Amino acid sequence: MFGVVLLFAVDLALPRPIYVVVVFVYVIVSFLLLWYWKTRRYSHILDLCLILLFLFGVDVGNCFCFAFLLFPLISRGVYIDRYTYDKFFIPEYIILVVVVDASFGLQNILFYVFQALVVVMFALLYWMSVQRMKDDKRMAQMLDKADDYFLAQIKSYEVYKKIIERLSIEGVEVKSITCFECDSQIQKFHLVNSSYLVSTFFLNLNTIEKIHLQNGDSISDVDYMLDNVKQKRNEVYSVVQPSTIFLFVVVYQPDAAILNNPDFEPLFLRMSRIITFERVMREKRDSTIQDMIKKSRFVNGATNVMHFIKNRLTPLQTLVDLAKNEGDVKKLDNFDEILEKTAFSAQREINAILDKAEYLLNKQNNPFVFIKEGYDAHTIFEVLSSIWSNLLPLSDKIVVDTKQEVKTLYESNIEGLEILFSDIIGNMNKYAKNYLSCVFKQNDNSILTISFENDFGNSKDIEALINDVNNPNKDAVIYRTSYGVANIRAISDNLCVGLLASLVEKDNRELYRLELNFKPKKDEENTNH
Amino acid sequence: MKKILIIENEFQSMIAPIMVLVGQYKNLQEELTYKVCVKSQEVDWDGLPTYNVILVDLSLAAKSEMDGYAILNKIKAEYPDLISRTAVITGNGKVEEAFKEKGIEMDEFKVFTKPLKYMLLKEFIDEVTAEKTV
Repeated sequence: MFGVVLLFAVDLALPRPIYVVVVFVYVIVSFLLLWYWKTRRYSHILDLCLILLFLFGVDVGNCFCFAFLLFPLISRGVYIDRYTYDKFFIPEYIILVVVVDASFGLQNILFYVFQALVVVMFALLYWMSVQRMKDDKRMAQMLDKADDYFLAQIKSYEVYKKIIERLSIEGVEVKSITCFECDSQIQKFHLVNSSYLVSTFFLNLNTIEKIHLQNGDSISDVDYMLDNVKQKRNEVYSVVQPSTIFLFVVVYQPDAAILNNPDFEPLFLRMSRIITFERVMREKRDSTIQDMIKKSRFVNGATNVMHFIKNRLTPLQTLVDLAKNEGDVKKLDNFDEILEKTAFSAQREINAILDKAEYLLNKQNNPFVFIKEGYDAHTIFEVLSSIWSNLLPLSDKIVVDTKQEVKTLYESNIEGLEILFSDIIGNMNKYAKNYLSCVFKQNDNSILTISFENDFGNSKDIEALINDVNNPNKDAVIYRTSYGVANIRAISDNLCVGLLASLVEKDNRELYRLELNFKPKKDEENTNH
Repeated sequence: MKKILIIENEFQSMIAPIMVLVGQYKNLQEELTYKVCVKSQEVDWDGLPTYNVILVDLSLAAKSEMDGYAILNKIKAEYPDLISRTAVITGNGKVEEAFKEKGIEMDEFKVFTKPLKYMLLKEFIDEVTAEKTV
């Protein structure tokens, strides 16, 4: 369009019909590029060729011509796409300017200086806007990784791994990202999640560092240890919320440059929201699961009791048939003896039905049938840790002793584990006096053992409880009404998790210990969660 | 003499009708003997053809290596002549779906649902032993 203006405003070097034909050809080729071949890759070359043809041998000191020469710089946004936005076409453009200038002959030196300044200024502005676009794109990609929590249904700790991978593409080598939650005074830390399965941690902050973090500022090179190994080259970002502060500790690889990455602040803000959201959802899900458990227990309990009653009704049916003299039984020599024995048997079955009814009225008992899949220790720990911190927010954290290098899968089911852990931890919380602890340990033979320990008030109850947990006879357990033993046994049986209860002595006090043993999954080709 | 094998983990609940049956046959000058197996491991498989009637409960003790369905399938596969002498005893009134899942046709085995009636058992025993005699 601008070229057409030039046709009438400026004396051009060639006859005007030639330019008209050129513009016509330009329009057709542009159309083919954009609509037929669907590419913008070579459109800037086409534009530069058109400008060269119009301005060849023309005085670019003319304001129309100079504007036409600057046109590609001014309208650079037209050329921005995934091929050209990061390098533009500076070399091609400079060649154009030099050829156009040379075609007219020498001009005042000040004109060239002015021309160069204008070109450099526009190029600089363009470079800055491209950098901004790249930053925005990188930030969007980082936030996309966080959003994968919702879209790809990954766990929150897996988001960190994806972020680390994305940062690695940018040349930022991060070793680990760990999130801690603390009170507003930053006195006590609670590990929320991490890209790394953390066994032990140590985070020591001085008063000045705490003040910075309380103000939402980031700090670096704090005294920080993971699994008793000092983590140098670290940065701590804080996200301050009304009742809590999330601290995100980024540890860089030894040779990586520490940079106060501007991407991290919005990213960690997003992560803190995800963690909060995850918590709210978990609470909702826990409540839904509890409702489902109640309903399931009721339905299963009702089904079971109907089967049970039908099984026990046979002596009563026989008694009725005898009374009705079915098969002319009254003629039998030992009819009285049969009647007496049948009545005795019927009475015994009536008592059994009454006992069962009493049990069912007091406590419905039956878990879901869970479909088992392969889960690694990290996933199981996340489930346990989340329930532990939800139900026992003030207790000591879980002691972890795992082998990072061993990627063993354990056959289990997340919903089943949630119910099992909730039952066990809920009971511990209910019956413990002062002491509660949990150890998460991967043994040398790859068996995963989770040990829960608590002190107790009534030692007789605990002895009975230990007997019930360890009793191989399932039926002997179902009559118990305390400690939810039957439910715990049923779920652990269903999940193939070994249960072992015992009394242990620690620091001159007797503790109840419940051990869950997860055997490695034999077929490891199943999905790794 | 009529011999019946009862594979059932809760025999105490069906001792009454068996007791009546024993009395009834005794009145007919016949002897009815029975053997109870709580688990599939207790079954003398070689001696299975010596029984006139085999009664199999579908749900057996947890320690039983085979449940009732597996026992029925074993009979189908290894002792097809005994199918007509074998009856299922169950508390589940709707065993069709479970049978289908386990590859058993409903009309293959006689099914008695609990509570058991001794007269129905007697009819079955008489029918089976009569067939055998014929």
